[in-house]
This record gives sequence, structure tokens and C-alpha cells, in this order.
Amino acid sequence: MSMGLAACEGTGKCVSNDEFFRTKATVFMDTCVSCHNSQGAAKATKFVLERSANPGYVDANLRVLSDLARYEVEGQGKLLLIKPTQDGVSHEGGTLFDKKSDQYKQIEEMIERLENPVECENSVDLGEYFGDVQLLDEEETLRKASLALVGRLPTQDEYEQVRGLGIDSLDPVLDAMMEEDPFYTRLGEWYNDLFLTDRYVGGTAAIDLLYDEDFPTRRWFDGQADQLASWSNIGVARSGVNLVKYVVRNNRPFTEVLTADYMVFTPYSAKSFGLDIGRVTGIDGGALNFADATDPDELQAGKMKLADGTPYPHAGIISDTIWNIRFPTTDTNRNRHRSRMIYRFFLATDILRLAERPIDPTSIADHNPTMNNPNCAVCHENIDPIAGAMMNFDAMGRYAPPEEGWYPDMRVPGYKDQTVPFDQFQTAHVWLAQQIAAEPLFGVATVQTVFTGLTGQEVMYEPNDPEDPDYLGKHKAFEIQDMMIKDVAAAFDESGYDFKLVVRELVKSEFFRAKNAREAIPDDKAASYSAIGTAQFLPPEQLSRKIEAVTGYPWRQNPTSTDYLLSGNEYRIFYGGIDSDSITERIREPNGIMANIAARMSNEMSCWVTARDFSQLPPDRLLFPFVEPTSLPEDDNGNAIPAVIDSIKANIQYLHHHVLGERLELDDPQIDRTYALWIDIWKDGKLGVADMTYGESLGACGAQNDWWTGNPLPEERRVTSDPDYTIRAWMGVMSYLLSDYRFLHE
Amino acid sequence: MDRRKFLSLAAFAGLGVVSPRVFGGDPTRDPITGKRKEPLFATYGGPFYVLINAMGGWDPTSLCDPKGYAFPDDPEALNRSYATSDILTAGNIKFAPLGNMVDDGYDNYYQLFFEKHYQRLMVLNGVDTQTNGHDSGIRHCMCGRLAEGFPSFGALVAASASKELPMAYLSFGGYDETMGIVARTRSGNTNALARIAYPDRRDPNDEMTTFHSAKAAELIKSAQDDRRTHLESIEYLPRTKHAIGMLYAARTGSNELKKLQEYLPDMLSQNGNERQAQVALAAYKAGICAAVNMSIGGYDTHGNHDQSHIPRLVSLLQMIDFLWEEADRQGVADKLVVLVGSDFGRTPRYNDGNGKDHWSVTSMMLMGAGIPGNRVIGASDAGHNPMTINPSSLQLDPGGIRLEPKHVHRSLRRLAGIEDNEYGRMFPLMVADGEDINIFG
Repeated sequence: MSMGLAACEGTGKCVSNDEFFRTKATVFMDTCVSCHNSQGAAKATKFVLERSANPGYVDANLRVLSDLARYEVEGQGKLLLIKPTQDGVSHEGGTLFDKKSDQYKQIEEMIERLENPVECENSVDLGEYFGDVQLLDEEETLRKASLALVGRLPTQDEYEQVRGLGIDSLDPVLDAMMEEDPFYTRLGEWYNDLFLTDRYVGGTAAIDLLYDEDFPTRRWFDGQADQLASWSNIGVARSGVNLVKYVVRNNRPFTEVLTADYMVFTPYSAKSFGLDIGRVTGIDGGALNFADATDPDELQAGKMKLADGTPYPHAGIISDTIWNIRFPTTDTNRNRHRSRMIYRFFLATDILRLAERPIDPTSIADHNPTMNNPNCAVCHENIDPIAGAMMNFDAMGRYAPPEEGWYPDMRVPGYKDQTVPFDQFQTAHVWLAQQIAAEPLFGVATVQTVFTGLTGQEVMYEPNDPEDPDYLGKHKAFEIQDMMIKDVAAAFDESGYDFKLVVRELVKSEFFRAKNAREAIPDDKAASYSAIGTAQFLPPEQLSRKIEAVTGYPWRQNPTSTDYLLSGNEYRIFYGGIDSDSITERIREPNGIMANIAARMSNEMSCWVTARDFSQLPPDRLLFPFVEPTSLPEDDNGNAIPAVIDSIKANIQYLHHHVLGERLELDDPQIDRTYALWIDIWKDGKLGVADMTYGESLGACGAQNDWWTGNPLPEERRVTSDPDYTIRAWMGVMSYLLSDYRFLHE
Repeated sequence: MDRRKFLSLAAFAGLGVVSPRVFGGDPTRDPITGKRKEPLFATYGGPFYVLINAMGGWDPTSLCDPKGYAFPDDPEALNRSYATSDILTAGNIKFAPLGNMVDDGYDNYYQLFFEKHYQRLMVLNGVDTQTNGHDSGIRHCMCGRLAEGFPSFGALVAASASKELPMAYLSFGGYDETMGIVARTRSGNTNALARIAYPDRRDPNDEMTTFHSAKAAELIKSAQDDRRTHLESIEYLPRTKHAIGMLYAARTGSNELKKLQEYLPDMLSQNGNERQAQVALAAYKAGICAAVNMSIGGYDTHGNHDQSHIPRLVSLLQMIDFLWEEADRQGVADKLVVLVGSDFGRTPRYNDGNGKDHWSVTSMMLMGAGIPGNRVIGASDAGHNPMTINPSSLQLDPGGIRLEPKHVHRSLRRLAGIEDNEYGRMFPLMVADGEDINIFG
């Protein structure tokens, strides 16, 4: 890579062209872009810049400048320099500055750089940046990843596969985890957070949205068990999310979520879509077969036929009926909502940010303003072509090409500067899917989705307010994150769109692994570190799985009920979850209601699991392998029994690691604090039992039966009373640990 | 909590003590953008809108638009349970002389109810819902539009009041579509709310059933506080500091549920209908709720109408009465605005199973702040067909208009001051100029 002198500041730090354009050559985005944009007064010139709200605007603008920098008027100089100064040539924008101005020097240096391109190894010194940050080691990273991906703690074998072997040793372990079913549950949650199609999983809500004439067997289950209706409906509602799962599980190129010429069925959804009347076939046109036609979770790829027997034009998710219903259209919206969602999900672009600037409504008096008024066109020139390319799906998500063609008063269906070939209008969405899948931004969007799924954080937008006192710090934070995301996206592209690579690389990234700073961060540096350290308040789905992983039992009333944190009728919504209907944004920071739910969980689970765990033989215990209910730290005379105290502390040490992921030495003050809690509760309880303030019975916190089966435990394993008050002391410890910041966050 | 202690803890939570530039650790700022966040919410103290959904299609002729039999075994009887001559009156409001099931613990309940509440009660009779469909009927009644796509009145007022309130729109069922303008807290499960409100009790209704002894709870709390101090001293990343601050702030300074806890009665009623009112009023009193959907079902009585339907109407009246009693106890009765409605009415004749089927003519009841009581608007004829009213005088007028839910909702929106706000304009009620009546005078 070239490292010319011009690339270095006084400190010797490499400044790339990219960085120079953004931070030094501000004349282009401050001045030139006012007219030289796609809708501006200079839109017909060769010098058209993209606005900073467009992702990838820097690269695009450098390409434009690089091309223009070659133009020179003989005897006059570079066109980029003589135009704004009107030095021998005219400029419709007038004279903007003179040759002595900073702006002139900025353009001069930019041209010099474009002629001698400067790329730096890293425009930000990552070594220096992360040098101040403690990262999780391999084992800690594995624990965090295991909980995030498959909702369980790693096995000892898995720990041993990575211990001391470097962060890349996680790859095979993560790959194996990504074969497990719970990973696909999690993956479904990541993508439902985008697609929101779980809105229709209740009752027969999805099937009710299908038309009889399109799907005559949609209610094939009528008159049969309700469960069949439910399984069919869920399969239909989740066709899009199931496509994502299918593509990943079968290691297909992830672009197939857009380009697949098939869709994904469960045995039950296939029947609703027309399996039994020949309207659903296998990919090869033969029969669609399932390994177990009674398994509602089995996914197989197949194809549909339209009512007239012609093939349904599949194009991944964007041809899915339910997905199109979830993002509906109207006669006036004309697919723009769908277009906006396509930008958001697959092109890493919030199209509405393009219009984040004051618009004077009185200035919009044009005929057909979305075409003709720059205030409107800034978004619509991007939205409308894609909206047009989705023309074949009506308000109810049905494939129904418009008989009279697309609206002539809108932009031509297409993408960017390309239009859908006329002979492909009937399958314009298929053409569109191919265009989007080929975009580098598709990779960026995929990485962003996984990043948010893994960390609970939205990605940063580039700060755009230089007046903000923290602007530079925030910009650095953005650059670091942006660089990481683009690096992973590039690797994703090179791998042939291997989704699992994205997961692996993000897990191994500093963003996932940042644990702490090595020392206090001064105020003036805080902004630059604002994006690292996940500190994710676990969403209800993940906390629910973590509770069971750590305690061995789910937080639910009985084995057949739904987990409290997963039930919409219980705590899921209160705990920040979504219903994919009216509540579609997660609450990612705790409020008082959520804090109370966490408090109840810690109390209730400590009550339920403590005696249950003691009812197991020590080798089978998850929580108390080193102590017994009879392990008392003092004898009847009040003399300490060191061996028992050691075993209690050893169990506390074990719990800190098992529950909180903390590896502590036995003499760590945190162990002492937890031990003090245990001993103080125990001493109070001992006195209370003696003077009969407290009873001996554990009541509802006792263990008489096997919880899963309801069968009575053998007499010797029942734990129903607590004469020494040790069980309740351990309950106190469990409440303390389960309510801790490090249990509720990852 | 000791205020000084809270302040010191709040300091850790970043509430005004930490340098404002250290936004990463400051819960009042977004850790990514650094922008100052709006306060979570300002507590709400405006009118409290209660929408009572009688699900299934009630029979107004057995309630507030009474029509009985002319003589025993009258084949034309709209109601076999009482004689037209026995119809009772409270002020200007006529009602069916029902609610006399002594065995079920009430006697003359209708009379008790109407005599107690008629001065705050407005009855709208002969309301044309234009549908016999359950979903479309309750939608029409609760949002003012027959077609899909409008939020309920409760959602509109809640969004207008403050969509940031933790329970801006609480729903126990009925038509509670929000169209995305406000987050709905849909929980018919008052037990869940009670459990959340009392996280330290196994049985939320029994303060003696704590998970831990009082001493143990105190020790756990103390250990948690010490642990927080420890984390504060060792965690340096702004995002982590922020998250710790948020967790602690949630547990102390901004605990909305503690406010709810404060206003929930010590013992929640064993009656599910009454629990809805208790939770809703406590949430309102705590300043976290602006509107509630209450729901009661069992009105779709296609068989054995009189035996099944009339006790459900008594339950409805008891529910309404309890709501007002509880509001009185909470000192907020002057804030209530109550709309009671159902999917539609029931046929004027009995079917072969002694039931009544769907009938598109119904009644609505309104009570509360800004609503003139002791008043009946509209009427139905002897066959329970809607009669038209004069849009200006609101008196019966053969040349007038049929009363429809949109007219009622237009007036309700005006009463709530939301007719012309952002949400009112987003979901306009299409009422022709000549029909723009103001039923509240």
C-alpha cells in the first residue's frame, strides 16, 4: 500500500483519502454539494456528489472526484480549481472563493491525493484504540457466545477446545453450535425483529389472510384437531423467517434470502399452500417430501404454482405473501413502504434519513412533487424505482401483475440508474432481488442485523454535527465500528455469502469481547469509547433461556406452561419484548416494571431451584456441588469449622462463575461479600428457628416431587424442611446472584 | 429510601452529577448519539378514559332501551322477562325492571344501579351499527368507523395524552387496535400485574408469604448496594457504566411499579371484572395510564337468552358501579370519562332455542366528566328499529338522521380535545356537515 509523505500528518499518522475527504476537504460536502447533487441546479453536469446521508457516499464521491481530477483546461489548470474561482472559465454558481482560501487549498490537496492515492493499513490505529480495552478471553467469549447463540452454558469439552488456544479456536465450536436447533430459534428472533411476521402466528391469522381462489386448501385442517390449524398457520406466517433459517442451516449463499427461486414449507404449511392438489412441488418439480411429515418444525424447500398451473415467480422473501401483507401498500402508497423496508433490511439504508433536513411545505407547489420537487425527490428518486419493481404484489400480498402497467406518473421501475427490462415486468421483483443481492450494501446490512442480534445495539450512524463538543470522539467511535462492520461484510462477500462466517467474526470481534477499560476513561475520551462493550440488558427470550441454562429449570409455573418471559399474557411485553403487532420496538434499557420482574424472577427462582438442586446427588447438581444442607460453618458451641467454611466459600466461588461468569480467587472481596450474606442470613435464621420466630418447613420452596415428571422423589432425597436454615441462606445467595447486573446483562 | 442515599446512588446513575460530557455513563443521554433523552414520561393527570366493551352483542331492550311484553305469553314480545307496563324510570332514563335473582345475591339490581347513577348517565338509543358482525360491530362502536384501519378511541386519547407513559393504553380486551400510534399494554392477566407489583411475595395478595424473611431481604438489599458500589468502582467503559446506572435507576428513582403498588388495594378483588377496575384506576392514579379498555363477555346468547343474558347485564352494571365506587375511593371520580358499548344489539324476537340473534341496532352509555347525565338521546321503535333525530335539537325527527357511532365519536373526540390534533387528523371521522351533531350539547 502506498504511504506517500502527503499521507502523513506531522505526527506521522497515516491519513487516507477517505479520511481526508471526510475530515479535511470539507468544501465538497459544505459547499459544492449544494448544487452538485442529483437533484440540484448542477445535476446535469459530470460533477454530481452524493449526500452524506447515503451509505457509501465517501467512496462514491471519491470516484467522481477521481474522474474529474483528470480534467484540465489547457493553459488554465485543473477544472476543479478554476471553476469555483472562475479563473478563466465561467461557473454558474459564481465565484465561491479565491486562490488563497482554505477551500482552494483543500481541493488542491485532494487532487494531489487522487493522483497519488493514499490508503492506510487502518485509518484508525486499532492497536492503540483497543490497547486500552480489556477483552474477554477465549473461555469468557465462548460462554457469552454460547448463551447468545444457543441459550446454554458451554460444556466442559467445549471449554477445553478453546482454553488458551487463541480466539480463532472458537471457530469449530461456534460452527457446531450453529448446527443446534436453539440457534435457529435465535436466528428466527433476529429476523422476526425485522420482518415482524410473528404478528400472524396466533390462531389462524396468517391463513385467514390468504385467498381461497389462490390457496383452495388453505384450511385443509377444518374439522380436525386445533393443533393442526395452529401448526399450519405458524408455518404460513413464518415462511419468510423459515427461509432465512433454511438458507443458513443448509449453508446456502445468504443472498438466497432474496434470490431463492423456491420457498420454504413445513409439512403443515405445505398443505395449506396446496401440496395435496399439486400446487406445491419439490425444487426439481417432483414431489415435495418431508423426512417426518408430522414434524411441524421440519423445513423443506419447494416451489409453488399459480392457479393456472404456471410457476410462481419466487424471489426469496420479497415474493412471500405474508411478508408483503406485513408491509402493505395502498393506491396512494404504491409500494413505497415495501421499498423502504427493502432498503432498511437489505441495503443498510434508512431512506427517511435522506430527508432529515427542514422542508418548507410552502415550497411544494409543483405538479407531481415526488417527481418534480427537490424536497420530495431526494427520497423518492431512491424509493420509487424499487416500489415500481415490486409492482406485481397487491395490497393483500398476492402476485397480481397490474393489468394496465405501473403508474406512469412515477419513476420507472428499476434500481438506481437501471430500469427493469420491459420483457421482465411480470417478474420485476426477481430482477430486483438479483440487483440488491449483488450490492456490497447487502453484506453490510446482513452484518448489521447479526450485530444487533448479538449485542442488542443498533449500529451507529455517522455523526453529522461538527458543533457537538463530542463530535470528534463520536466520529472515532463510528469509524471503528464502521470499519469492523465493513471488514466483516467484505469477508462475507468473499466467502460466497457465508452467514455463519458473519456470526463467527462478530463473536470474535472486539465489540463483542470488550470487557472493560484498563483504567478510568477521562471525560474527553469517553465519547470515542461509547460504542464498545455490549452491556446488553438481556431481552426476555434470552434471559428466559439463561435462567434455565444456569438453574436447570425454566421460569414457568409448571412443565407444560409457557415461560413467564415468553408469554405475551405474562411478562414478555412488560419486559421489553415485542408482539410484532402494535409493539414492534424492543425496550433495551430497564424501567421500573422490568426491574420488578427481574426482582420477582430472582426471588421466585431462588425459592424453586435451591431445594430442588439439593434434592439431587452432588454430581448431578448444577448449583450446590460442594455443600450439603447439613454443612454448618460453626459447631453447637459457636466454634468455626474451617473445612465447612472452605466448602461454602468454594461453592460461592463456583456460583460466581456459574451464574455470573466471574472467575474469582477464593480470597476475593466479592466472595467475602457473598459469604457474609450467607452467614448473616444463616445466623439470623438459626436464632429464629431456635426461638420459633421461623418455622422449619420450606413450604412452597421445598422439593417433594420431580418437577418435570411430577413423580414423588425417593424419601431420602426430599427436601421439605430446613432445620438448620442453610437452604434459606442459599436461597438468599441465589436471589442476590440472579438479580445481579452481570446475570441480567451479557 | 433515605433521600440522601438516593441522591448519592442517583449520582452513580448519572443523574446530574457526572460531567454532562461523559454521556456514555449518563442515563439521561443516549449512549450512542449523546443526545439528551427526553424524560421517560411526565406523570399524567388528565381525564381517565374508560372504554367498557360488552363483548358478543348485548341486548339493549333488556337494559336501557326497554321493551317488554304486552301480556303474558305475548307472541310479539320483545322480552319475555318483564311487562312493558313494569318498565321503571330513574330521572329521564327508562330501564328494564330486571336484576332480581335473589339466589345470585342481588335483588332489584337494575333499579339500584340506575337510581344511583342516572344523574351522571347519558343513554344513546337506536344507534345504527350497520353490521351484524362481531369484529366489525365492536370496532364500529369503539372507534367510530365500520371499516378496518382506525385505532380505538382509547388508543387515540392515550397517544394524544402521552405515548411515553408506561401503561398509556391498558387493555383487558375488546377492540384495542392502536394502528401503531401508542404501545398497548394488553394484559387481561391482572394476576401477572399483581405479581410484578409485589415481587417479594409468593402470593401477591398475602403479605405474609414473602420469599425471604424481612432480615434476609434487608441483607440481600444491602449486599446488592455494596455490589453496585463495587461495580461502579471497577467498570470504566461508558456503555457499561450507563447500563449499571440504568439498572439501578430502574430499581430506585423511576420505579413506576412502585407507584402502581402504592395505589393498588392491599387485597385485589377475587372478581375479575373488579380487578380490571382496580388495576386500571391504580395505574391512572400512579400517573402512568391515560386510557383503559375493560372487557366483559358472554352476551352472544343465541340460546336461552333470558337466563344467560340478563345475569351478564347485571355483571356489567356491577362492573360499572364498582368502577365508580373505586374511583370515589381513589378520589378520581371527577376524572372519569366512561363509554360502554357492545358489538350490536339482539333480534327483537326469540329464536327456536329461546335465544336472540344478531341485530344491528344497539345502544351506548356514556358517563363522566363533560357528559350531561340524566339524558337520553335517540330511540328505537316498538320493533327495535332506529328512529331518526334532528341534528340540531337532538329530538326525534322523522326527517332527521340515524344516530351512528361516528356521531358519538365525533363528540367524544371534541370532548377530549383531540379532534384536530395530529392523531385526530390522521384518522378523520367522515361526518357530513349536516350531521355534525354535538351530543354533549
